[in-house]
Amino acid sequence: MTATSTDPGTGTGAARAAFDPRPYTAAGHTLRSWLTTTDHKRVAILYLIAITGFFALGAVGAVLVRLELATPRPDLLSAETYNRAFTMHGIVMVWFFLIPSIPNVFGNFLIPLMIGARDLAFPRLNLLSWYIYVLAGLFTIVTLVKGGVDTGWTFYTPLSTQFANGHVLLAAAGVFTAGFSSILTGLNFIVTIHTMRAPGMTWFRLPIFVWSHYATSILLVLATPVLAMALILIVAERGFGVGIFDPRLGGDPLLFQHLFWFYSHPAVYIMVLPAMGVVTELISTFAGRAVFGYRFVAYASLAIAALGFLVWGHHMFVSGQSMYASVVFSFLSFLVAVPSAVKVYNWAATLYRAEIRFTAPLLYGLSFIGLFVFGGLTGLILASLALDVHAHDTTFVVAHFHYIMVGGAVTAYLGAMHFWWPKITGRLYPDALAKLSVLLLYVGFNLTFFPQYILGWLGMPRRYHEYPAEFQVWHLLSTAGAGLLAFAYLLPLVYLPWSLRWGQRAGPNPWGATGLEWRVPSPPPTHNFDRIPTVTWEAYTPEATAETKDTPP
Amino acid sequence: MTGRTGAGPGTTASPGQLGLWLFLSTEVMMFGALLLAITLARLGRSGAAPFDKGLGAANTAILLTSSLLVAVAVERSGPCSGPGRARLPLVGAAALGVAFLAVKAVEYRADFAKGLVPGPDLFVNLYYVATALHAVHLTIGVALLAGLALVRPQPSTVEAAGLYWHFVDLVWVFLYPALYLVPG
Repeated sequence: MTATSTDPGTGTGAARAAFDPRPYTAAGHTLRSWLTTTDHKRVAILYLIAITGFFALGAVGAVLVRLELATPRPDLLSAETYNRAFTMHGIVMVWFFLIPSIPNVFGNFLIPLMIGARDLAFPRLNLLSWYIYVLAGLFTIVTLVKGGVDTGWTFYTPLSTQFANGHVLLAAAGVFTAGFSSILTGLNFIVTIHTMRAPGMTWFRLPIFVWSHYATSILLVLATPVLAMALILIVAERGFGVGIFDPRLGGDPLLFQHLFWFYSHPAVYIMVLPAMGVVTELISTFAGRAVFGYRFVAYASLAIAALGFLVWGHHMFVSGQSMYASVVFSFLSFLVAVPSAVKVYNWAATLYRAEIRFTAPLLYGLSFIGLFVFGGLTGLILASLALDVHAHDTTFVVAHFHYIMVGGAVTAYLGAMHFWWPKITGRLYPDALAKLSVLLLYVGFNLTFFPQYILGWLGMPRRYHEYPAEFQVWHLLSTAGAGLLAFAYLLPLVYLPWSLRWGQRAGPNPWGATGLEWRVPSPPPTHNFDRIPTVTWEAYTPEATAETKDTPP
Repeated sequence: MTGRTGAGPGTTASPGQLGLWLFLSTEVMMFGALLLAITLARLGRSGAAPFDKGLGAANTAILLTSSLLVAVAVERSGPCSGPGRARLPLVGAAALGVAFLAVKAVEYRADFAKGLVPGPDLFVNLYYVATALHAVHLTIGVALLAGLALVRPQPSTVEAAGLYWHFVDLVWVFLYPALYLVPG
């Protein structure tokens, strides 16, 4: 490619002369300057604001569900409204919070800094991806305003094509559009990691955070189009009457489940792989050491991504699919435990006999490990053919995937927020309050979701808004836990904005961390690096021992 | 640009080329899902495919010829060629694309006359979804090639549009046997 405006990474003499040392936040204060920015750091902030809004919206759905389930009788919501509440909770949290959360905020902000580049490979495409995301979000909000949709986030046919009363096409259009945003982000990251690394930044000198985003991007690029096709086929059936899934029109209802889970199982790894990348950085930093078994941790990300494409059938054990297919899917699902365990053991080995600093970000990271391991082990129960028949479609499944997605991914997201907040804003937050919110999160989360394992095992189906009176004590515990959890999520929304004005100023490297992003000022200048660094050291080498050498201008 | 990085092997592709290949890989996955569904529907159905093999074969020939012209256009847009030499093959390829769509329209009309309409046969329904989605992609391709014929494009732009065109052609090369030829 010729040197065009899409490539601000070239360290030419002209770029050197024009280097502006002011932080990226000072590059413009008008709304227009933010909405037209192509700076990866500013786009990350745009994403941060948008996904925080969607997180709040999804949380409203969760609150409604938990309040309704506090009593056995349907007294707060009608069956219809309840269906719409949990559907909106699922759609918003999966596609508008979890999938974009860590990649689009922290990946966007950090990948160029970590690999020693001045921006992503396609800065304008990055901004476009945000606008597509916002457009998709508007579709979803319009769906909500018009009365919502009652299919569950899975859009299962024939419910979604024949029986659903809500605005299925509009909701599907929102998810379809959000998919394009995902694809563009994944594409941008892959190209950036391939072509924009600083001299000497070889693949095995990349932070694990970058490796996990690379694996995530592969999933985004290859799995999302299959979801797009599934949604196109729903539109063909519901909009044009061409039978694809409806048996009366010659369709095959199971086909939808195959296509949907071919995307949506990898989507779980889209949510959790970046979280694993974050946790690796947290542990290495606060153990004060290089990651134990670096190459194994790096390859484990790719292994999880690759296996992720081969396990979708474990969502369909009771669907009537071939028993032999189920056996293979069950076996492959067990295999996912291997690279996942490789990561957990390597984190443990990194911490073993280290001089650990128990900061708030590390506590988030340790909470991640605890909750992720618990969610992962119950995943093995669900991957077992016989046990799954008992637990299928109960709150056991709900508890399992919330341990991974909320206990895992959201906790890691908050860990990333607390770790890189000083880099992004240049300010430190009150440590004691942050530690309090981790404690509330850990207790509140377990109180919310552990009872759901028990309920599910006792036979409480998911998606029911009434239940026998003897289940009430577990449901009440769960609802109480959700209150604590809400408080744990609200607290950072108070002290982090507070720190913007009153927080102590952070230096370039308040944690003594090792990545390239900590070698530039906080907040970083618009073009990141005055001189593109030449990397001569291995990943996780402390700054003091790493020999810093700059390329000649 | 590539000289600056070169941190390891595999960094020789330009960002634009790499991005385009990744985009095409998403398209492969999307059409791949559809081909999988078509294969399943085909397996669950007896009797030969009901569609007109002759028109399908004609359209295959038309698209393969258009890809040849696109390859010629990419060749002629190189630095050793004179300005505007890529225009004629680009126009030719776009015209063949339009011819494909015309044949397809005639074929749809004949299908409808024969009673091959969306109905209780999943295979027929998927035929309509697949050929319509392919036609949408082809229409975008025609607009791209026609647009390039009007301006004086960079060689890399012609190459990018050419890659897309070959991809759309390749999708048809898979759809044609899957929909028309596989015996019952």
